[in-house]
Amino acid sequence: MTSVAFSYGNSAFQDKLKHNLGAYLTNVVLALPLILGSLLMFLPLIWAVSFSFGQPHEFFKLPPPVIPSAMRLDNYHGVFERVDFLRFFLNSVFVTGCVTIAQIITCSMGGYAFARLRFPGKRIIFILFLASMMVPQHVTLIPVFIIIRGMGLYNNLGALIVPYATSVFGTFLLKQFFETIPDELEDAAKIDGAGFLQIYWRIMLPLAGPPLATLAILTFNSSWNNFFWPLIFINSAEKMTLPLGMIYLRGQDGVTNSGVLMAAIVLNLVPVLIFFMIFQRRLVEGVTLSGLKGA
Amino acid sequence: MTWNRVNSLALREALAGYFFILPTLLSFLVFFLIPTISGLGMSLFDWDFFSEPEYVGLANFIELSQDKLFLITLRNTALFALFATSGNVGLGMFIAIGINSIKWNWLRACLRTAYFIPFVISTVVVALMFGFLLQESTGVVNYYLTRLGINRIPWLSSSAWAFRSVVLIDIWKHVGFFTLIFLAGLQAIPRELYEAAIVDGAGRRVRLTRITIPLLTPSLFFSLIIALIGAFQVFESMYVLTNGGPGDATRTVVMYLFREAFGSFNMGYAASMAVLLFVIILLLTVTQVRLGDRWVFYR
Repeated sequence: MTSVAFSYGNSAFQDKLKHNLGAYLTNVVLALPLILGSLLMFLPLIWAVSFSFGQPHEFFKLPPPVIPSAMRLDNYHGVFERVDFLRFFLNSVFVTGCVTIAQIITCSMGGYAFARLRFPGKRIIFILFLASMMVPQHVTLIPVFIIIRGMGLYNNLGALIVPYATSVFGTFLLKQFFETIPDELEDAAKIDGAGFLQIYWRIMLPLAGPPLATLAILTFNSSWNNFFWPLIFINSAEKMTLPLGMIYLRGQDGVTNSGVLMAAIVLNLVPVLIFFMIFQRRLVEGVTLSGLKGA
Repeated sequence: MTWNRVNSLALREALAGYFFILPTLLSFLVFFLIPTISGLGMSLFDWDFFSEPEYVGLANFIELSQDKLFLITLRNTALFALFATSGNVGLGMFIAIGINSIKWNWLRACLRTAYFIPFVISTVVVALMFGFLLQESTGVVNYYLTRLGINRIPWLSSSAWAFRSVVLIDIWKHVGFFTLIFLAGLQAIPRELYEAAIVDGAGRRVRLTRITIPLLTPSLFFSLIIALIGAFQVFESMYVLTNGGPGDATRTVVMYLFREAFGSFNMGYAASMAVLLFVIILLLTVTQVRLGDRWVFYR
């Protein structure tokens, strides 16, 4: 670039340099507040990590050390001594896994039917589905509580899975996708004598990888973080998922606002951040997609 | 092809259709339609969960209108919705515009990631973490504030500050989500518009106010609607962080509803709160959609 600039003569080079410098400075000026702001997003997480390794007396020492005097694992031992943290984790994995797999199946089935099949009442059912997204879950809370109890799912992990086995949002997402698949693909299969089940299984599902991945990741995230439902339906420690388990842990002796709680927070953060690192692109895509649909 | 054959084909397709929507439809009926109808009905009854429900007409709603605590929670919820929505959406929009105008791709990606990270962390964990950091006498935040010569702030122990803290934490957690929505909106703006504006001699500010912001109004409209719907249902962060306190300074409608339903077993009363909340959200959304026609710029 420099040699090109020189070939235009010295003053052109200076102009170019000035222009580049100007652009550079604008970038820096614009970026600086944004970078400072983003540090604000990280700071609480960094503190949580550093306190999780700290000793109780260090919390009251001023200044609180950003890097603890020694990397002690006492707080982490404290978590596992007080509660069955691994049980909470496995419960979360089980519930989230079941919900995600169930939604992939049910939403792709529903999406296929709404996008590609003709049946009486299709329009009105779909509109009712969409309308249901507007109603806050608290309206249905007490009746659903009674229904779940009636099903014998009170204090059972099933209570956290069955009501979430399908979603209107996911069905809508997959319907939108299946509508973009050209008719020719389906017609060819029909001529070969394929039934609807085969078309769904052999043609539609293999093509739906990207939207299903988006759905899976969004579902995984919201199911993993679900707190309200376990709060209502779960009352014994061995059935708790992570968010409720955290509240249970806080209620134990000497845990409130201690390094033990911070250690448990870090144990929560690690899998979530790994998940985020792996699926960041899809997650961002999913959020953007659900945003654009509405806009 | 005979009529019979056509009919049987159509019948087969219809049956297949019902088969494929069966799981979704069943779930919709059992966990949405029936509960919604009975939830609406329940608001007209006095019911303690164990004895026979008693029909009381609109008495629950009349009681609500005179219930001081309900009016406080309603006010808290509305104020929270106002501040959290404007903070999240306003900041999200400006962060997105800022990020989008940075030329270096790597920095853009880094910033986008940084702002989005809190979104994936559960509200419970976020609330517990801030509860620790914001303690008045031993919290790290106050320690550094005193080093800067600022007095300790009673983040969670004074009514006014507890409310502000809850709003700030909500913005910390959600601003990245709205940033993403706006970034998507910005990417949808055609480059030619900016190029044409530059040819016409439009400066940075003119391009921002005449192109970027008008063309972002659909994203803004969408963000305002979902932010407000979410904010009116806020529960978790207050439940974990302040449990509604100090006093009732951070108690929201859903917290009160939750306590009435599962603490005092006033099922009918709790149901009437839920119905009222739904009506409020519905009216706000409809109003926004109506008003939206006036200011949202559709290409």
